[in-house]
Amino acid sequence: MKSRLGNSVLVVLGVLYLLVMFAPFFSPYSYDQDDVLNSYSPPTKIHFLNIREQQVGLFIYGHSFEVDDYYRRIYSEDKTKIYPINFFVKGFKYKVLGLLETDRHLFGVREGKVFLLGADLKGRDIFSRVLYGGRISLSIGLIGATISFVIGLLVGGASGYFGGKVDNLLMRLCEMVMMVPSFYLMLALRASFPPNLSSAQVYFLIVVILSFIGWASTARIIRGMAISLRENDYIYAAKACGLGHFKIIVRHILPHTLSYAVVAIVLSIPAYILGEAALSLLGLGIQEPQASWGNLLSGAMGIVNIRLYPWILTPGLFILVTVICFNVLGETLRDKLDPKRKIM
Amino acid sequence: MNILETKDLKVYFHQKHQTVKALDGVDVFLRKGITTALAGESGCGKTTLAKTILGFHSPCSGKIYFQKEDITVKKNERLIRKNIQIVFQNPFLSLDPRYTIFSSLYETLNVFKRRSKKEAENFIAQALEEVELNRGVFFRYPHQLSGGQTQRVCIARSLIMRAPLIIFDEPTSSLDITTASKIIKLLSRLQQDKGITFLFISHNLKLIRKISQVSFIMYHGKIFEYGPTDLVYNNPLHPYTKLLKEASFLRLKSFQDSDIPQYGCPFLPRCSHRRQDCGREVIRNEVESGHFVFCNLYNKNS
Repeated sequence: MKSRLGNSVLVVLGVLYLLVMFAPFFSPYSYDQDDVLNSYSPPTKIHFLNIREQQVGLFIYGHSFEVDDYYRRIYSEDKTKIYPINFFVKGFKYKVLGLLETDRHLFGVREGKVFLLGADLKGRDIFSRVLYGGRISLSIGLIGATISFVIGLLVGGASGYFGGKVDNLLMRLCEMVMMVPSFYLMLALRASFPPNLSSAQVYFLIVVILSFIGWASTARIIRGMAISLRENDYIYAAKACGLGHFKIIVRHILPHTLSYAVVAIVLSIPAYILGEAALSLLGLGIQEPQASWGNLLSGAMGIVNIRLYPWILTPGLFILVTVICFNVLGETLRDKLDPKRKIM
Repeated sequence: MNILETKDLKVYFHQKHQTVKALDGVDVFLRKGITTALAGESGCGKTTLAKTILGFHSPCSGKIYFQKEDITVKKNERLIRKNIQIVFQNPFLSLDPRYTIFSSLYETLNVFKRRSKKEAENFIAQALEEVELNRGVFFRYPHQLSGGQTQRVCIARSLIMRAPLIIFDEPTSSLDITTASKIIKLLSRLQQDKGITFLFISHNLKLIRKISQVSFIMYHGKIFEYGPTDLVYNNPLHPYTKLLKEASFLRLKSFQDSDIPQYGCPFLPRCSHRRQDCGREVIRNEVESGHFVFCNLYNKNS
């Protein structure tokens, strides 16, 4: 039962990662293509059949808006205009995985606009922006977790293996990192860098900041495991053979902590996704017009916006699904790798 | 000639409320090219002595000389690694379960000199041949082998570095009698063929008689008796050695650590021959030629 659940979340995550990897192909519009005429346009209804016009197949109606007493746009469908949805249409140019240049997209319309998940303030397609934003949000989790685990494993391994002064020093360092509430630490670290960085630099910076916060707890647990592992005779035998300390840690101590590490990596990924979302939500992370799930949500900060245009919350739904999936996957892996629950 | 000598070696472990004197002034010497045995019950400091020789514990005082070179100083660590190897009691714990026999031995072989896999293959096959194993175990994991086979692999690992001194820390204790006797035969043969010096640690005097030429009897961090194995076995002098030979610990009295006198003989609370002066300093007595005992029963003056 548990494993079937694990498999299904794996499929969901696989689909998500495929979608964002080939984001330009799946998205009908570019992430920064704005259209003031479609500001806060609601999700476009997709129709299949219109008897009067004898139209069969997926199509959308054109739409127009009126301004009400509060200067709010009320969009309505214009049933006389029918735009069929085409598959593998030509659109903006892009490169598949940065290699092959093409302009084919999975779907699109020749005229009119199709907004699967509605549009934002500037009339940009939220669906396209969610896919582009997922590239950042989903990759930051993987890269950040990996980096912080490499640091955590090495620091924890060295601390447990050497013991004594080294252990004392490294563990106090860990505690200093853990002592500060991570959200404030995140903000403080971000604040210590200039605000006007290019999006690539900001991306890199966020990864570094998040890994810097995340390694300490891993290091402590790996240290505990290393302390019990270092008393094994094979460690003494390796020492007696003259193997260097670094090699002993990497070859004979850390591999034995691997089953724990894999589980903990997966379980920690949500923290990175949420961390990036939090920074971007506050405008400290990925900057407009670049999209990330966090800064997409920043458009939904006002309660009025949520009430009037609820579709701008959909990026939050993606975050929710991803975080749940990673948590379930981590739990399943833990059951598989560590059935006795020795460690956690 | 002595290949290794310890001079008044003391290793104390400081714990929260007490100091454990694991080695309390140990003088041992290993003659080159023969097997020296170290016997005593569990917890008497045999393994501590082995680990101190290998530099895993640093002594509070005293010196260890390997071929006249003091190896208690940090800079001589390389000398230890090149010249002294160890085989542990439990073979399954002394090989990393995650690596095949080949990669474990290859790793050892590569420490001081890099060799290609091809080149190493012959070396490793040869070392395994010496312990009567063939290439079939190359890509097996430790848990796929029997205890005897795994112990042979450990012996092969200690041989592969061509170290002149190998310490065996109860190498047969975790094996059954048939396998153990095969290992003992193998060790005797290896020693005769190669002229390596062995330090054989055991709690079994009968085993020691079979394999060693010189014996040291140890108790509570101190040497009680030493000399040629024949003399020690056939004519045990110290009351403790007599008990060890009979393996009749049933006759031993129970005691508490606090009963042990600070300066005198640590065996005092359990000894049935105790005398007035046992609580004071114990001196070395040479009873036969080369057969020494630390017991006041043999004091010529008193």
